[in-house]
Amino acid sequence: MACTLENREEMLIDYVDGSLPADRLAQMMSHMKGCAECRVAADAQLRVWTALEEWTPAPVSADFNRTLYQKIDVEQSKGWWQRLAWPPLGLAAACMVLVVAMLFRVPGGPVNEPEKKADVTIDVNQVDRTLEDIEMFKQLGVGNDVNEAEGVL
Amino acid sequence: MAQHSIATGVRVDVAAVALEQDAELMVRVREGDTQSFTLLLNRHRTPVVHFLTRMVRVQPVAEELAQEVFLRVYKSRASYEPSAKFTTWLFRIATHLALNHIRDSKNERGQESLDQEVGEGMLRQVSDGHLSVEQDMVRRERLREVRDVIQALPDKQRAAVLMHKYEEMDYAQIAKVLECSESAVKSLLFRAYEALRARLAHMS
Repeated sequence: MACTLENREEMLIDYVDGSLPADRLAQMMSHMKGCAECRVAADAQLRVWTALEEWTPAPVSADFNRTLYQKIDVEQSKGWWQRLAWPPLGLAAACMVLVVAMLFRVPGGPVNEPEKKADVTIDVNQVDRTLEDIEMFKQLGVGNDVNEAEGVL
Repeated sequence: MAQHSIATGVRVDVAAVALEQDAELMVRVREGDTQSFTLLLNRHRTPVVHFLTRMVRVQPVAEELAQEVFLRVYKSRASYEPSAKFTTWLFRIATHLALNHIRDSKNERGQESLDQEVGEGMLRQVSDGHLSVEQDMVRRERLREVRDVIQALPDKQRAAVLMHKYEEMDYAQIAKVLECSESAVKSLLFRAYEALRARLAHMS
């Protein structure tokens, strides 16, 4: 016959950990007299409970408090600006910078255009100067000296 | 049965008194009393470290996480409200840090090295007793098995079982720590204990 106990799983767990109120404990005990399935399950739950009790971690290190107080001291010695370097705040600050940057960035706007042109002019001038320098070095024979020096090394 | 009820009643009263004391101490910490922080630390240090050790399995890592828990408590003392249970708050921070650590380190660490570190940690405690070599080996094997089956549980189920079994928290408090409903906690615990029963069935 299938078990008809209401809230069976909760009853089982609470029965084994000793937290069933008196009335429900009586109900559970009376039910188990006639229910082999629940007796087996309660026995298995008791085995789990006992097995878990065997796992006791090692004692806490003796210098736990000292290390913690050192961390607190470090925290307290920080300036307010360093305390603001909390990761979520950093992320928020980065987002704000991004938003501000996007607000000021007008596509094809008049502010950026002359700068771009100036950049292009500088680049062309630089190329011109470089070509002139190469020509001059060739005429002076500097390139040969460099080759000679590399040969020595 | 009467004994059972009386024992449960006493446990509840003791827990209620401890909760009131925690809240009172934390209010004093908020007002700048560092002695009260030390009292809170000494009272809750071991349960927090043990909970984290069972969660992450490596004691030095657990201690580092526990220090972060208490550091956060200290840093947020100004915003503490006595309406919130201190231990709920404490274990919420601990669980949050543990779950983040597990998530971050899942792909970084090999299971082999993890087992080695845990094994070294356990060695200290089991060799304290007066057990024969054979009994010692059996006990170690059982401990290893218990740790492995708990470790095999999904992270939230594991956290729920550890709080229920070792911290003696009820469904409502675990729900507050895990920030979910009481029925969700029951579901987590039922599935976890069902799995544990199946895996530890052979243990007598």
